[in-house]
Amino acid sequence: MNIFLELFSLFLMSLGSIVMLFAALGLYRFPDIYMRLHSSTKVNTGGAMTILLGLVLRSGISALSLKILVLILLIFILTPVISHAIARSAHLQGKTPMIPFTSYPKEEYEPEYEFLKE
Amino acid sequence: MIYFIYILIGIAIFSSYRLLVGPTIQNRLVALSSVSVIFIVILAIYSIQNRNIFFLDLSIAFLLLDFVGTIAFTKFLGREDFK
Repeated sequence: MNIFLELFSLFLMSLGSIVMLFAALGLYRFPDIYMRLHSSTKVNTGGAMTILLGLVLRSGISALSLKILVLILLIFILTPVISHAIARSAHLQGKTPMIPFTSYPKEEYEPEYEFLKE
Repeated sequence: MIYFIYILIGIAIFSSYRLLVGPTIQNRLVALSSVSVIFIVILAIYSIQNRNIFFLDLSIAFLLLDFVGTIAFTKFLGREDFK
């Protein structure tokens, strides 16, 4: 195996691990469901695709590599659909996003959280 | 390459805090989707390391199962009589 290819593969896998750690940190730290969706799912998708791309570079041309490419395509399609469905169900249950002010000037906005009403 | 599996297991444990103490059902669904994606990546790394093709089938099946389950559960949550 080429040494530069292996080093680039290790770099990609380390980058994906750091990105997925940031996704878990955002899932732990953010206060609202929409902010957690914004932090977690997109970043998690990108990190998983980066790690799997590093695995493709390590594996070479084989059936394993082809199957990991199919897995990358499925993650790229299916995980944002899951995120959108969760956000839609949260919207249908009547949860408003935690924003301190609205950008529409004529609209009355009443935040549902206590510390934003001051 | 086994160290990436350890790192990802640590990230999954750290991310499953929201799965245990999330205030609503949507928070737990987000955490469950995140943990399942991490589990899929762990299966892929294990499969490449051992040159074994069956764990990749398992990871693709797990991804499709997570997709169908989450979509069905959110369709159930968005119903009119479940508010």
